[in-house]
Amino acid sequence: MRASPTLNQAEWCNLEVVDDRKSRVVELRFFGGLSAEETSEVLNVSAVTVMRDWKFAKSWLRRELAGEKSRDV
Amino acid sequence: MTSERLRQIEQLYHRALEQEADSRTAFVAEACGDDEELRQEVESLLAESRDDAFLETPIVQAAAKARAHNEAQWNLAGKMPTHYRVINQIGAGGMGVVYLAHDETLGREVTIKVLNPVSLADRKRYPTARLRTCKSPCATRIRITTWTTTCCRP
Repeated sequence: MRASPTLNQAEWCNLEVVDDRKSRVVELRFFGGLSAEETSEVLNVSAVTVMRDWKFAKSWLRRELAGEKSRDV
Repeated sequence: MTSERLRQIEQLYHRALEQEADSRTAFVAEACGDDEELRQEVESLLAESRDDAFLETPIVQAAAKARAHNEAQWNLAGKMPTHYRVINQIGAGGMGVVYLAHDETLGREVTIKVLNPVSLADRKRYPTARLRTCKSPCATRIRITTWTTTCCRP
């Protein structure tokens, strides 16, 4: 089974500072288990916007995680 | 990073994803002109844009799945590790699961504790007095102790 990704405080804060709504999307979807539709209702934006935010936030977080890994080596 | 800059990066990121994969690099280079920093930002994000399982399983589901996997693998109910006949599960917690079993050799009841993998790190601190290790393939994760009447009955 693939190990669950871990998000540390630095990556989390980074995204939060950069874009509050994207961090909320990740929070609601990954930590809260909400669907795109449910997330869009909570944030009062369209589901398309949620999916765009989600896509971008994942790339952003994965880049941060990859950067951290290479710094550890 | 300013929010204006982020919007610029994000817009170009999404527009690039709408392009055919093999023309993305050229598209981004042209859109950025001599803004090298913007090009690097967008390119590094596009490099991480593949659709896979990353973050797609909500953490509560992932945790439940891991727990179910663990339980399925280590569920001893009805099984017989060596000469112990497992009667039923009498408890479960952060450390692992405890079963009530019958020791067929000594003819008495015992408890079998199956430790979670994470608990193995704490093995040295685990109280070992009065405990005997079961000789089974999973010996490192199993502790057998005498069942006493002071324990709560199932």
